[in-house]
Amino acid sequence: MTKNDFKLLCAKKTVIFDGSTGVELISRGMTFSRSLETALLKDPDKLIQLQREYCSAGSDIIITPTLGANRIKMAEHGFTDSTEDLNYELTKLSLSAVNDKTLIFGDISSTGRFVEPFGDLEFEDAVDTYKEQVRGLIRGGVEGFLIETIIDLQEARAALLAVTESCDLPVIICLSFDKDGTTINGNSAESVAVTLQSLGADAIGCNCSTGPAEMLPVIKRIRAVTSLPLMVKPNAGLPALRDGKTYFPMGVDEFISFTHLFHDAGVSLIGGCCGTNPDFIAALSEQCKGLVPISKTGNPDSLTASHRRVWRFCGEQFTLIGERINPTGKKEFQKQLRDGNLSMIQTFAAEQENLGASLLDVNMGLSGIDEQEMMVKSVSLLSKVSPLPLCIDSTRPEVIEKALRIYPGRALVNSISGEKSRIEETLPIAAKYGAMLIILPLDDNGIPKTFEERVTIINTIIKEAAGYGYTTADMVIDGLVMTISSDQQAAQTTLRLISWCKKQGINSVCGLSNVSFGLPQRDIVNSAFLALAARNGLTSAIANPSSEQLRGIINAINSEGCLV
Amino acid sequence: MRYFSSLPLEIPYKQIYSRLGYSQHRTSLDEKTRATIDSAIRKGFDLCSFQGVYTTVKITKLENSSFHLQTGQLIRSEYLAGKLADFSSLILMGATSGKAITEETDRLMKLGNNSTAVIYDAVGSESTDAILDYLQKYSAMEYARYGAVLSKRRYSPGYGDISLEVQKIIYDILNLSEYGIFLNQHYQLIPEKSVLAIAGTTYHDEK
Repeated sequence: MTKNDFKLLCAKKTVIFDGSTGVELISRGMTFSRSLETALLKDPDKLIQLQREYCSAGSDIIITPTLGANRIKMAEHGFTDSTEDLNYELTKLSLSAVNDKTLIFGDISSTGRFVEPFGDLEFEDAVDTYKEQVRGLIRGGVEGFLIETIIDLQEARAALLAVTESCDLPVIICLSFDKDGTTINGNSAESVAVTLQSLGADAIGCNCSTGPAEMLPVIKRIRAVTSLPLMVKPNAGLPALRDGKTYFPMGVDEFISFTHLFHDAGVSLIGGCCGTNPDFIAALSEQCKGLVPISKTGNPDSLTASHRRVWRFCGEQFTLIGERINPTGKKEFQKQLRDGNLSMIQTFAAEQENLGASLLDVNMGLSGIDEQEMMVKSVSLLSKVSPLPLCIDSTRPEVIEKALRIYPGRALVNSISGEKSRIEETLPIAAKYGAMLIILPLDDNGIPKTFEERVTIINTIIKEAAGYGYTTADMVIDGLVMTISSDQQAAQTTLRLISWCKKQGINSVCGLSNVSFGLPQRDIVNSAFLALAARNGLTSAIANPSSEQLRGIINAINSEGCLV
Repeated sequence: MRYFSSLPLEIPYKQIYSRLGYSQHRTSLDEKTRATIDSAIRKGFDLCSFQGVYTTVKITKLENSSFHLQTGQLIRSEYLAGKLADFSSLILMGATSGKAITEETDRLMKLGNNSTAVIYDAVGSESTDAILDYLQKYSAMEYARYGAVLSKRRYSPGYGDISLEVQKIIYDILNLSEYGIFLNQHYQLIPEKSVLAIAGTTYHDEK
């Protein structure tokens, strides 16, 4: 199945998945002393029977019984053989159970360990672990993947990259959220959706942990930030205890009473998790007959995300990108970085957040340090200590690649220009990780003096980026303000460009302090220029939020609704 | 046994302020004071090194308010028996925020910087509690895959009629010395910001 086939399927009908496998098998008397996965190879009859029942009940897609069949999880059960072979065998088992109308998707879930920067499992080890599983599933003949029951966005990223770097098959990701719409690791529903959509997921949703009532508001939050097909696989309510035994309180009728609510919320893939069985799926399938999913319309949003928070460019607030995590001109910070000390980064992050920054620019360009290593360390640290999304600022593509690979969110890349190396090297990297882009209107001939030349370069970059699937919603155009101390017309050119961006409906940004370089009273000049630029449609600025005057201007911009 | 050498905790600001005596609805703080306290909380939190471990032990018999554990030990508590009688296993949890936070608190006290020391103390206590919250949620999710549930509440030795000696039972089963946590002759845990807890689960029974 191609990604496009999958997209068409999700647009055409409400796709029915299966229900619970593990819990249902246990309730049918399946016992095992080590892992369920290895037990199934020895005693496959109950699984085959269950999956046949799901097919008969109307499941369009059945998942392989490979939830925990990754190397790390299996090692907990003393399994040291190849998990590629294990996944291959289990896929073959599922294939033997289903009819030729039913698709088999490979099931992938948590390793049970936390991935860096939040835990001690190295990111590349996590990706490699999942790739081993993915190889077995592909070899076995799956038509797509379901990554599910995950509570950590970084682990979900590792699993998704393992799939997208191994094949072009469609991949759905479902995380498990609490009632409050965050995973227990603190990832918000919006952050998860924005990050995984930009990283290449074909559908997003939630499964397990809660019942349909609790899942409904979560899926609505996800719908607000993504146009991807949505999936739900709820439990049959929240498990409870009766006479010393666990039971799921929701019956079939109550469970399917949520179907139309999910449909109205934009869901196009639906199944069941713990506590459900073929009876639930049969009723679900019956109710979904003729139910065509509601696709999301309207322009896409410009969204960046940390693992905890999403920031919308051109939302209700002016976007202030804090510029302080940059060693240029900061002797003490430079010294600390050369000593490998990152404590000032944390201080700068907290201060800028408190002063109203929306994102943090991170630049580690400094002689005498390994920029790549320091960038990765900084991004890792900031991901843990700050809820703000990051703007990765480097001229070196390899630095940007390392930072984007480890970053558990959707970053903004600063920047893509019309220079050949940026187009050929940095742009594909940014696209692979789905980062937003700051577009710099300069090329190998330098910075154009005229407005028209700048627009020509911007249009060239937009066209190149479109080849990677980017739209202008993913871009922020840098007005490229030059110092007015050497060219008094420079500011006019920038303002004209900002005004053009507004007419095109594209976000714009300025490295604000450039305008006053070499002048006295820089704070006043910067603030005055910000006010002018905002009047012309500027939607964001890279600046130092510690300037009270500048914050005052931003407050005025926000309260006057200049952005609207 | 599941062990976490680090945990993705967020700073439990609300609980720390509450422990410090600030009421969310009645106390107002000016921006500068709040920034100062927040900064101290962040610094204290950075000193913490979070570890957590949990395991389940089957209850072979519950008789006369005594839990007979499959591992051979016996936990006696009327209070616990009243709360966890319906469960087939106990889940035993251990959490620590490490020793650095306590050492820095003591150092600050000696220097006379009592206000920061008090904040650090609150950070250590509430963060350790946050680890247990996390372990409880995590294990509930993990066990749900096997159709098992956890009790909503957890209980610690020293509360109600659960004697401090129970610390020793949990300590041994969790093998906490391996993780740099020690128990003195008064059943106190070292580092100080360490806590043990018990909850009920149906995990073993269902499996």
